[in-house]
Amino acid sequence: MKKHLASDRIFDLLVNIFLVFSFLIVLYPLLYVVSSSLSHPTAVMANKVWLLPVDFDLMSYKAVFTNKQIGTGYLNSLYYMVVGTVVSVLLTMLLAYPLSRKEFYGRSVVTKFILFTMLFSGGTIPLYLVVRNLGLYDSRWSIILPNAITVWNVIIARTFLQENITDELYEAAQIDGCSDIRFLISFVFPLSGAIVAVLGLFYAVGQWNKYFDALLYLQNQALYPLQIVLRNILIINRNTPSMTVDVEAAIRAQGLSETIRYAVIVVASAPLLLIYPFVQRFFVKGVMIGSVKG
Amino acid sequence: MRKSILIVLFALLLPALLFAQGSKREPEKPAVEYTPIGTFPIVKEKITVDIMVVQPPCVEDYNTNRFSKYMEELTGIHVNFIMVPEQARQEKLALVLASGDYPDAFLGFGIGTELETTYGSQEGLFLPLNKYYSKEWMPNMMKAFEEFPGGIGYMTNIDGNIYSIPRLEGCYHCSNMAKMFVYQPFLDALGLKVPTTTDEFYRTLKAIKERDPNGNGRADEIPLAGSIIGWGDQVERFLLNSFIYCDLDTNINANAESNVGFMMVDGKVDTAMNKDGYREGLAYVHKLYKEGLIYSGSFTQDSSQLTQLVESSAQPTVGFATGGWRGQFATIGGDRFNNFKAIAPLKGPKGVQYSVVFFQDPSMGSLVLSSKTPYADAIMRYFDFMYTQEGTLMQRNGFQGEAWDWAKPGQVGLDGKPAVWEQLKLWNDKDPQNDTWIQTYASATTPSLKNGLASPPITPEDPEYYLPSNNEKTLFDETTYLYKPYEDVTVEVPHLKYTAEENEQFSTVKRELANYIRQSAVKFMVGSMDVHNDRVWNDYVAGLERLQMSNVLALMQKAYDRQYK
Repeated sequence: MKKHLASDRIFDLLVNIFLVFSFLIVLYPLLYVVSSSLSHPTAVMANKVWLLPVDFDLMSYKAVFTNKQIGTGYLNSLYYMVVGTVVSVLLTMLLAYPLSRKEFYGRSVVTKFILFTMLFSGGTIPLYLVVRNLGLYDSRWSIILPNAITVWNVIIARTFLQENITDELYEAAQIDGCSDIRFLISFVFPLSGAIVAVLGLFYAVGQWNKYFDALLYLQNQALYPLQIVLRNILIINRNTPSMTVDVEAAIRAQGLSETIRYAVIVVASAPLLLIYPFVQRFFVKGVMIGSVKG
Repeated sequence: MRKSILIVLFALLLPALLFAQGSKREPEKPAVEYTPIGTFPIVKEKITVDIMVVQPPCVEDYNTNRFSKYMEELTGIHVNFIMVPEQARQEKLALVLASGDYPDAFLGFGIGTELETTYGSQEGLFLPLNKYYSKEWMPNMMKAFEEFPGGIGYMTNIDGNIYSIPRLEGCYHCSNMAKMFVYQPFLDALGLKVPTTTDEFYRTLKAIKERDPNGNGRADEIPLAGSIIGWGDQVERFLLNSFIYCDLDTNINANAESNVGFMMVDGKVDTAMNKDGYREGLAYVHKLYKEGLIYSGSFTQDSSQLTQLVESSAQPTVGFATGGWRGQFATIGGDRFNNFKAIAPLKGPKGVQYSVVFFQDPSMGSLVLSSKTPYADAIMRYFDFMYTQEGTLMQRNGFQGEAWDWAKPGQVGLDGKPAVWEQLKLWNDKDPQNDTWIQTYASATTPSLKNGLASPPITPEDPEYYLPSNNEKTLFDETTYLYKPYEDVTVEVPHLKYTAEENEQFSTVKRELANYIRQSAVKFMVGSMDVHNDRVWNDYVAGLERLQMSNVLALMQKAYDRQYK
């Protein structure tokens, strides 16, 4: 028996070593990005940074934050993220709930139509024309409404609701004289905290990273999300072989083109990294629910 | 079940039915009163035109831009600029043209021959501008074209129409951008002269590798380094031209139309890719590679990695480096940057010695007009001003007296002739501003303007000659004295144009052929294919034929005869 315990311990030790090793592998690139963004450009260019910042320097952050559009970009992205997530979660739940009720007439047909859009889409040009003709073009809604519902998320939510909102519960509520709307508000939403958190995170990440939609549907610079602004900062600091240039600006850009991309990564991912720990505890629970039928 | 399907179908169709009602209004033709051509303002009563413009990040807002305002005052034309971020220009153009609701003109989209053929010749969405290519309508543009012989032919589509006006940029040193530079202190330390033949070059590389020119007691020297991605950075583009004329760009992502090793031999389109001279060149590069004289990463890295290689070591290690200018591989203004000097093309064993020619063709598709616009005359006259020296300098550099001024008597240009203008403020596309357009889309930076930049008289003996502030002068001199003598503009294949059917038929073929050539070239140079083995070489040549080399050559010949005979 004792022998068995020893082998268990060795196994545990090996698992722990393996996990620490994996952790380091995941951590290193993140640390490298942060260190590079805080180093002097010439140190990065000369490949001297490997773990900690070399010649600590905030030049690249200065270049990012002195950009006039960065403030509006940040606010816009926050707006798109918050409003977009609320709209998307609400619409997804409102679609998923009826589909989870067996007595909903024609639900298999509706499900098939929804699944169809998962595999086939009209393409960029028809979508652009729809956005334009609906009058969404160059407004904030063009970022929020198209693709507000992701089929994948609808399926997750539907499965969750099927499992957790049982027919017995529904019947009991009905016997007490509860209407469908009341049931939705008083039972379905309060009981789906986990799935709402998961959907919220999925949609929030999607909205935060939105780039191409904004390029296509927005024209007014005041509406640009952070991602476009950051992309512009990267472009402007490209090292281009241009002539009769301001040599000082060119030297600065040659160096900055190395560090600024790291600063941009940090700036762009910081907000999401901050929310993630708070939502994460729902995460595994929410996505995995419904994976085992029983 | 059937009923439910019907209901759902109807529900899906309902929005389509509702929104299909949106009607398109035909714009009524406004009456515009013009002043005589050649006078300002252009119109008697103010008009507004919509121009969609590609916005570089260094311009804050075209609508409030100081130069835009100046143009509005000068011409009486108010332009409503619709700005498109640089990254989205292709998608946006396609979407806007598909939606049917488009502006009067597109500025800065760089619409190439293929798109011009599709949207212009086939769909008729672009207005043919042939009428404006005349001294009567656009005198300034026509004057600028005098410095670009063949330029108008270049702009003409195969259907005989011209759909755009260009950016004319005569970048003198770019026309020989495949340059090589040597780290002069190494040669001084070894007591060697600049190599002039391939044999001397080989011996110099060997000496750098073996005789420790940086004097740190370690054999850490890298005799020759380049990169496969980067402007003029490829080592072989410089070296192969000592064996045969070869414009091959080995970057697999490069354009499949040009720089694939085609050349002109006695007025016939031919390829260097199956010639013995090319094979000897590859063998020479392979010899250098095998002996460790070429840095092994040269065929995989990009120019920022090359810069790291040159700059990262405590003592300098790189002896020779390739690039369009020294900023491609060294930190601008750094000590190593200042010590690299250009060398001329090497003379090969059979006396071949070429500098690759890069034609400075007009940039097509800079400004394209919608075929529906009622304001074509106004827009063309508005942009004709941009082709004057004044218009170009104002668009690019800024206002006269602030950013530039006409040269004072006695000032000398880059080319040693009396200067045309002097720069008061350095051109800077790194900091966002709202004074000028910085990037010139429709303009004429002619050779005479470019080389007419006032420059202090300075010679290579002067220690300040190689500083970045004299970069313009250094590049001009290096190009003139080291590269121009070895260029032959008749061997490079000029830009060829194809019909829509030809494009359709051959675009995949050309892409595959180019990929094959580029991959094989690198394999021969690094030795994964043995260049000395006749069987391997014959297989390679047979592979060219299998990928329709002779059909592509025949097509190019046909296009060449059509345009240039």
